[in-house]
Amino acid sequence: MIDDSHPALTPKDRHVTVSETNDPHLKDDVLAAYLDRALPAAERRVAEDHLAECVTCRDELVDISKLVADRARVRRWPRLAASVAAVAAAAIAFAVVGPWRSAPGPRAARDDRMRESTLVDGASRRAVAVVTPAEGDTVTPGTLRFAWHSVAPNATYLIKLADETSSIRWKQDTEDTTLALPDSVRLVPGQRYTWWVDALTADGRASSTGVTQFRTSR
Amino acid sequence: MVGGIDPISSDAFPAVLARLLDARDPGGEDVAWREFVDAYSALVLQVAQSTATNRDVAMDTYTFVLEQLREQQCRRLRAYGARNGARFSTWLLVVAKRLCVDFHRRRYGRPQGTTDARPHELPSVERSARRRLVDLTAEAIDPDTIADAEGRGPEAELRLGQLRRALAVALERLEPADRLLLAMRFEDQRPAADIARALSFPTQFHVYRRLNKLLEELRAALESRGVDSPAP
Repeated sequence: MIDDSHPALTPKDRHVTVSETNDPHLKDDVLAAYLDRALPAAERRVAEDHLAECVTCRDELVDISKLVADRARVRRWPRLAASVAAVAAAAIAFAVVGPWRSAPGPRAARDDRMRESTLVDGASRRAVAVVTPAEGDTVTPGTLRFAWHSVAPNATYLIKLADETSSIRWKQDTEDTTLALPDSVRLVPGQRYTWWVDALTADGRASSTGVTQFRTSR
Repeated sequence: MVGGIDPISSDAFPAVLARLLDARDPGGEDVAWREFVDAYSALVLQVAQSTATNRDVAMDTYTFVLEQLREQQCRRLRAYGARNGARFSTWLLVVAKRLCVDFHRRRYGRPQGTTDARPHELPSVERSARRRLVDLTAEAIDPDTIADAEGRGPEAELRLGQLRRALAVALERLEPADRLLLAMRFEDQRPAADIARALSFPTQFHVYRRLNKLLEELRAALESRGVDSPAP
């Protein structure tokens, strides 16, 4: 923390601002970058050092993280609705125009939006690399196997699979880096699904794949 | 949304902001300002509503924030430089939230009991929360001693003081991220869901796992300093 009785600059001064009441707190851009997990490691440590001692900044951090999450949630639902509507529109176009012509539509744009959504939601925790099924893959429901890269020895993983309504269809703890979808979980042909893996290392550090979307074949 | 620009997902320096800050004449600035308000009105209103008790106050707060953002040729907005890589929308949430706090302080004054106290000045509630951490850490070491401490005997007080000093030393040796986690859980008594969201843990489950790991480490650190001995 800043010692107000010593006016000499310290490295931490660069990260705090002095409010009208002479209370040193995290600067706007530092707090925002902390929330976005965009701070370099050294600056993140300094920010956390301040946060650990400053209840005012901690309260702000919690309040604003809630606002960020609320905005992300509000944005995600219209996207999902648009995505479902677009799939329905494409299906209707397919039925009307026939299988010999591909349905024109916003497929690429939808995929871009979904990728962007993945970045927004998972930018900070993309330490676990997906192997299969990868983003945009089409898979056969009966033979689905998930695989990802290990993050550390003795890490544990929690895999989750969600359907188009964001309902969790399956989740499983494992210490392996590959899992087959159990027969008890039936996937609907021609549907979009998302999956992600949260990893926890032996020393308690967490990371995630972020959300990956795939589609089941018809 | 203006012209397909999406405030949240646009680049670190959104085009709508660039147009506002680059406006050369008052007419151009007025147009750019309206465009900016169209794009970010919902965000500012969301923050204003989160701090207000009713719709009228929310609208007053919203107006105040916009006035402050525009004053002196958008002085506050010009402070945004994407230097630290934060998205503009996140940065604007922070600035708007702080302006809302300013508004409420100007209108209602600073709430009682919300001073920015240093740890040694913590009010009794926070001190008791910190005491919870001491007790929780000590439980696995010597429950009988802690039970005795409730009896306020001189030896028990001495023992508890020793435990607290040792804990303070152990806490100082932790990584800042871990001290922050403990502060949020035991001083602020935040729910794991709030902590997970604020500190970017994937789930609450990860918060609990990390807390358990830290408490184990603290207990081990205390034991290594001989705090496990019942004798003062």
